[in-house]
Amino acid sequence: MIEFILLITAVAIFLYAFLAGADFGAGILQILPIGIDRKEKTTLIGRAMGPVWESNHIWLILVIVITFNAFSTIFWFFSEWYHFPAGAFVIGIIFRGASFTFLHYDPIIDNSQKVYHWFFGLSSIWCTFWIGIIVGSLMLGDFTLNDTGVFERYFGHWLNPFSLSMGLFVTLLMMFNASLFLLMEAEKNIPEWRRLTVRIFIFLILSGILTHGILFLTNFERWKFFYFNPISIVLILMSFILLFPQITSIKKRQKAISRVIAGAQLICIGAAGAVPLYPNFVLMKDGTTLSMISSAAEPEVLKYLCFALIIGLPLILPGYFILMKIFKSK
Amino acid sequence: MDALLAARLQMAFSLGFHIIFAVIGMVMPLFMSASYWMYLKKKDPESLELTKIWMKGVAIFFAVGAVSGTLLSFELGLLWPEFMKHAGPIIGLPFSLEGTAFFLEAIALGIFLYGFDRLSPWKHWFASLMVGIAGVTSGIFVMAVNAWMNAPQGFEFKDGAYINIDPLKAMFNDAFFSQTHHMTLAAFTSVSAGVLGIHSFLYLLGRRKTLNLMAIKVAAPFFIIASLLQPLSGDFAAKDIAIRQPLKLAAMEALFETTEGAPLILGGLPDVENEKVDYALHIPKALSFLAHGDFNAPVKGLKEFPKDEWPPVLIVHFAFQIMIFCGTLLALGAIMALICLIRKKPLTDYPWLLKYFVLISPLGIIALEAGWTVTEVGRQPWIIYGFMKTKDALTQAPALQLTFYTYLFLYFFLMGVVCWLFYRLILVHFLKKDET
Repeated sequence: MIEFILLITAVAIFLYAFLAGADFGAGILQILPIGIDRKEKTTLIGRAMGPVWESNHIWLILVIVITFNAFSTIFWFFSEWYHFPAGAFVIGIIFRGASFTFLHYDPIIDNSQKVYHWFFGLSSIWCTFWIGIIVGSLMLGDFTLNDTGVFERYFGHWLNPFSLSMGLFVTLLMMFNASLFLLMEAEKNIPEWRRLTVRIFIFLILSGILTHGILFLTNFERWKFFYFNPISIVLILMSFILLFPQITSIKKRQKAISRVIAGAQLICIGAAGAVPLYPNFVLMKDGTTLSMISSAAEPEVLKYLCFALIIGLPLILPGYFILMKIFKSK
Repeated sequence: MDALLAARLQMAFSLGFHIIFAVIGMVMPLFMSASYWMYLKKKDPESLELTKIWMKGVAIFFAVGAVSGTLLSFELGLLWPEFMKHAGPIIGLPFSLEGTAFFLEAIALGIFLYGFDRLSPWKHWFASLMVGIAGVTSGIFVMAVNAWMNAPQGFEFKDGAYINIDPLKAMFNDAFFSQTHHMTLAAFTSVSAGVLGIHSFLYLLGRRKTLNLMAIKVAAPFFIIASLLQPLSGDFAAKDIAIRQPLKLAAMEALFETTEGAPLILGGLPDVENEKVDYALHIPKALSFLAHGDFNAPVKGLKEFPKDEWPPVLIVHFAFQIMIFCGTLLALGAIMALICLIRKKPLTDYPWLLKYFVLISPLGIIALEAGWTVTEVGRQPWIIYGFMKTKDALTQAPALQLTFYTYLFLYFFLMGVVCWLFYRLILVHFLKKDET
């Protein structure tokens, strides 16, 4: 049962990172001066992301619900130690949601659209940056469950160079994901979109080097198990090798193949970080761990959660695909 | 302001804000579905236009509701981590089912919004119906969670731990039935009253009369049925509270002494220090009858319970009085509308009734908010009634006052967003368009 729940959680996290990640990235690209007419950019982004916006973000709600139901200790830990980063992320979600509503449902098109765009773009940067900080801090595990001091418990573990550099890395990763998505969707200005994708990729690589450099210099001892884990190494190599078929699919404009490869690359990167830790969720600085298995709820609770997921998925997934199909037939 | 009060106020504002969007998300899609059904049957363009206008409204409310719902799911953990740590596994089942229903609602709404001319008409109509059904189902599951907080069941409490969890028993707890039907009817009453009020106002202004008449025709039956059933549902809920949460009932009525043949107290100003109610109207023995079906039955007063477990009597009493007052005016409107309909004339033949609808249009939402205040404040100082106090569930994070003011600003901002868009929607479809 627990494996099934963990699998669904992992799938939901992946879909959120992939679909909502592209959506976040598109929001950022919308306000960047990338040499493409704003109106054209907006139309393309609206066409690619618009209709599935609400359902994209429901993956996040699914992850939250599963976590507090099946792994309530981890939910409690996250709520307390990440009180401020999670709160900041939610504020971004509010502004993003409000500007999205304006952008899509304001019946009057006038100059106010420019304001909505800026709100949407800035809140997208804000959200992705905080997601990156949280991911970085969880990877670093610079805390213990016995932290009682205000700074240690609420600030110290994320207010550090590594977590901040992860904020930058995740922001660029989502921008790259979005630019790839939009490059394959674009019908005009394809060379410009291609140039943009390459530029973001270069920045992404540089930011990756920076992130690893900081980790190497500050926390190598604690993280060397990650660098020497054979599965992680294979997964990272695979994500790199997949770049070649990705480039080919972009050249041939094979939209579906390109997206599948992008998804596979994201899975490889995510799994490379998660595999050395599994079944633990985080490795803390005192050497103790927070484990998914040991923090799981009673079997009766897991049984009913599985039941809810088994009922829900056959209802949700076909509907989701119908929605995608209807929208793409536009 | 201490941290506990700041967190409670933040939660109150969050729920008070989200509940408006939740009930609109439950009911408006069914109105939209009804008008679309009328179009598919009669092929009149007015019904289609009304469907499309309502569809835009539903999309706005849904998008903002999704945002405030996401915010709430975070706030539960950020403000009350101890509550979520222990209650999460117990009430996770209804929350999971609610998530599924909400997901379905989002997908069905997307299909409906983008499915014009891409689906067969009846399949498209079915999507609109699914939005409504999923919305109502979602609301019922959330109510199951709140009902559990008032009537916690489905676990054993040993040495501070919640063990041997039975999620099904927790979900279908003793308060489930009384709270879900009362809230569902409240959703239909408040939204239909609002819709009737807005379209009556526009009709009286002389704008798009046929379209507004159509809207009134759709909303009126929902309003009449829900508003007339609500007092019966309220009576059932009160009898249930009298047994399960007698302290809450005593606070609602500001009844300090345990009394046989207790009077129903209307209005008044509770003086908690001197344990009396000033300027109130007393209906002899009515409370005993309403709570227990017996004019001489004893009703427990506040003094039966330790004073540190009393909820804020003044707030609970006022909120209850406001709810009853609004509910009565709404039921009166429903009776008048029913009489007019029995005479087989359209409601628009009675301008005085339309004016009454305009006047009572906000009362449904006011009653809804007041009812929630009774439920939530009336349970204090407990977050899980009888098991966990609200103060024990609070986060240790600093600066909760600052967080509260930030969120307060955000909620006003979101409300501004909705009002602005709503104004522009009405401007485009009603105020700038002449009757054709």
